[in-house]
Amino acid sequence: MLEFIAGRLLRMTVTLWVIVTAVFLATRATGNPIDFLMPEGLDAAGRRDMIAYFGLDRPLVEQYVLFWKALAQGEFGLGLMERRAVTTIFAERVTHSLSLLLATLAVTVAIGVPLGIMTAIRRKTFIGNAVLLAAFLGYAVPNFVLAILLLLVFSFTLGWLPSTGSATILHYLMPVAALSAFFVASLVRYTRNSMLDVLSQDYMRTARAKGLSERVVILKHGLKNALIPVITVLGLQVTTLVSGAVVIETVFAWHGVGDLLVGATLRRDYPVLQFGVLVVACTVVTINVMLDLLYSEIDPRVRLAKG
Amino acid sequence: MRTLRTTSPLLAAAVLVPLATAQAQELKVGVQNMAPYIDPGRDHSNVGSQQYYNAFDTLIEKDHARAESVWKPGLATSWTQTSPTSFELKLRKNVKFHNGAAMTADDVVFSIQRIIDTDFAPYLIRKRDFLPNIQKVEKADEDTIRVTTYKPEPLFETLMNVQQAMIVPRAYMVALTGDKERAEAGDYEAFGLKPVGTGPYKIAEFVPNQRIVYERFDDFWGEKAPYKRITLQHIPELSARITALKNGEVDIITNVPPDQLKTIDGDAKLKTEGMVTPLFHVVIFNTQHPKMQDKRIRQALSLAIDRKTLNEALWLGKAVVPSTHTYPQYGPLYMPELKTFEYDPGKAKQLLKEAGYDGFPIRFDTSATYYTNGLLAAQAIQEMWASIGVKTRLNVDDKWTGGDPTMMVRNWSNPMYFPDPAGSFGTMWAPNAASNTEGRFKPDASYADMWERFRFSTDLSARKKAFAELMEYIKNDPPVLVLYQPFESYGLRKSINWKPLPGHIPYVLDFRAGRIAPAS
Repeated sequence: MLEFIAGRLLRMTVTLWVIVTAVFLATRATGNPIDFLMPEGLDAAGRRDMIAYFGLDRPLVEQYVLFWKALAQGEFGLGLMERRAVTTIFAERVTHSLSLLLATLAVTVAIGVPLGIMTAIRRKTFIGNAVLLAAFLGYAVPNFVLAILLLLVFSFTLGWLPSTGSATILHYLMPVAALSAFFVASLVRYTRNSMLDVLSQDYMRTARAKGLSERVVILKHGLKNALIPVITVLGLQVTTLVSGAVVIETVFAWHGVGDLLVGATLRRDYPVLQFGVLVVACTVVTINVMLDLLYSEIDPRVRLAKG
Repeated sequence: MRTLRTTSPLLAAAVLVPLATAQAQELKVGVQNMAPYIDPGRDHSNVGSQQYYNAFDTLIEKDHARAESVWKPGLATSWTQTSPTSFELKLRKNVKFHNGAAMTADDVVFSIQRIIDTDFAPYLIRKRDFLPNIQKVEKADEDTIRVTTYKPEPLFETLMNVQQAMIVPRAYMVALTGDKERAEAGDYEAFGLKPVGTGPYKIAEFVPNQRIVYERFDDFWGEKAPYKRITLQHIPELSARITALKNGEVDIITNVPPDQLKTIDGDAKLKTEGMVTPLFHVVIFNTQHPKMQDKRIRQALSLAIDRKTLNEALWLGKAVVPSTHTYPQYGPLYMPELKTFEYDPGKAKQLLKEAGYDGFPIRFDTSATYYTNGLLAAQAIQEMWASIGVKTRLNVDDKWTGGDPTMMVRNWSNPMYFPDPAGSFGTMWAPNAASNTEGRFKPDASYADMWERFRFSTDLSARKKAFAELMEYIKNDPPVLVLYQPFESYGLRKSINWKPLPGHIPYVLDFRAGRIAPAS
């Protein structure tokens, strides 16, 4: 088990190093932040002064070494646009984003898994088919289209729900609905397929033959096995969820990490971008490692094969 | 007809005097852009300018209801010129900063000194733009400040009214970081997050790029603020801003493009207010590009643009197409009689022929969204140039390419930073300004001479004559074509009486007493 974790951690470190270095180079290779931060233009002397003030006149290698030195001391620097510590900027945004992501994840699992099981068991019924059709729709409609439709109906026309910000629980309804539609839909389909697969297995027949109740058969023997591929898919989709949140945060003026990273990319605000990508990458990599662990816990064969 | 239409908002603003004085509770504003820091000294962007006036004061104040400059006492109650290069200002007594400290002569000296005598790059660049002629600022006595200039300064009042010369508290600022007695870069950076001024609203909360919360400052030296609390909330998306307004989440929204006016005006509870703003959208030429050096090519490109059609199509005719670089805000130097920019496609074709234009493509750089209607205008100009036989390749990129030697043509905006040709035309085309130092405009010695006479003559008629000569130079060897003054609109609740005022620089949100009448 320890060996397994150590291997995962090593891979995680290498992945992070590659990502951070790629961001370091990409932000510098695609233009000088000054040209994006001050689109009104500057005279030549002013441009030189600002470049020197931000330390961008130093050789790339020196900047790279300084960057790692600072990183080793836990120094992430000030944002180029917002002149405050990038850690502060992030701390403020992360709460907003995490609450949106967690709410979406909770809604996704709470709705997606039961509906998936239901459609698998009630294959030929009207309700099962209706849910499947809805799932196909949810899968096909881009989240920003759904978001704008919701805004049009519930804010613009009816005036029932607030359209911007994250102050109250009411503010969560539309963003969470828009963001989770796709994931609920895909989870329904994955759970259903996985469940159908499991339902036809020999051990299910055995369980029923033992005289267990249908409830125990489905939940204990069926669901537990069906969940293995579902968890993998869910893990992979966390990344998609994060990128989907970028769009939703913009539409609802949510001021989350996504909105911050998009702005920082446009302005080449590299301290914010480097730190942001590091945080997002760490999160995604950690979630993947945790899922691997969880997976190996549910199915010991994984540990044996990969360890 | 056109003149009538342009002056009517100014007239309307001028009669907006008898406003209700009731003090209301809270106002919420949805803004398209929000500044990353609040320090009037280091900023000159169109984004920051909207937010300073509520919280900071200048020594010399201005009647903002009028386009032309009418000076009024501000933090200085009077001022006199004591020699061709020196001025004395008497300071107002009993002025308090938002942190409770009394304003002293030391604060005033520090505020301007930090800009003109500095190695802090963000201040240094503003000094070059705005205050290069201010040599020093000294305390004559506890209530008097002496300002010395290098050359005689015809624009003294104007310069003491710019946002960069707003007054900040010295002791508070220098104690923010590091050495508590000395001003350091860290102090300046920290001030931008925890700003303190003397204006009618203090900044109770500031989250960069997200929101500003102003609160009424009860110790303000002038008429008290009409609102107890004002929140500027960053809502970058247009549709989200309009929805928030219709939904009653905000009371005012900024940056409504002309094609959305109907959506707001169609709602019984809402209305729109707008004004042609003292800012030009321009097309600039790289006069030094090998293919563009022949001035006849640039003249032809300029003559081929039908600005009236652009105005009708993109701005519903609400923008103003000027004949030269001029606004009513230039006051005595407002000279609409000059004819610098014209539409004459016949002459354009003739000039191209004379210059031997061989069909080489012109690269036109534009950002995708930075200027309202910017990309649409560029596409229309591409068609207009095609009709005189010029091929154009649009290069859509958010990057500033003004200093790129391969740049041929691009769009830009040219705001009025202070109400004089030097504060708008000059900030970009003075002999040592950005256009020259970035290498796309290399005027000769005669131009420098005209500029010197225009900028520093103390005789008004000499300034006017020199500016007319500068415009003639621009016409003959064009580095720029002024397109139009855009029409800037706001959406708001019908019950709120507010409109943008012509005496401000572009985008200022003025919520001081007498400028906004809250809903009863």
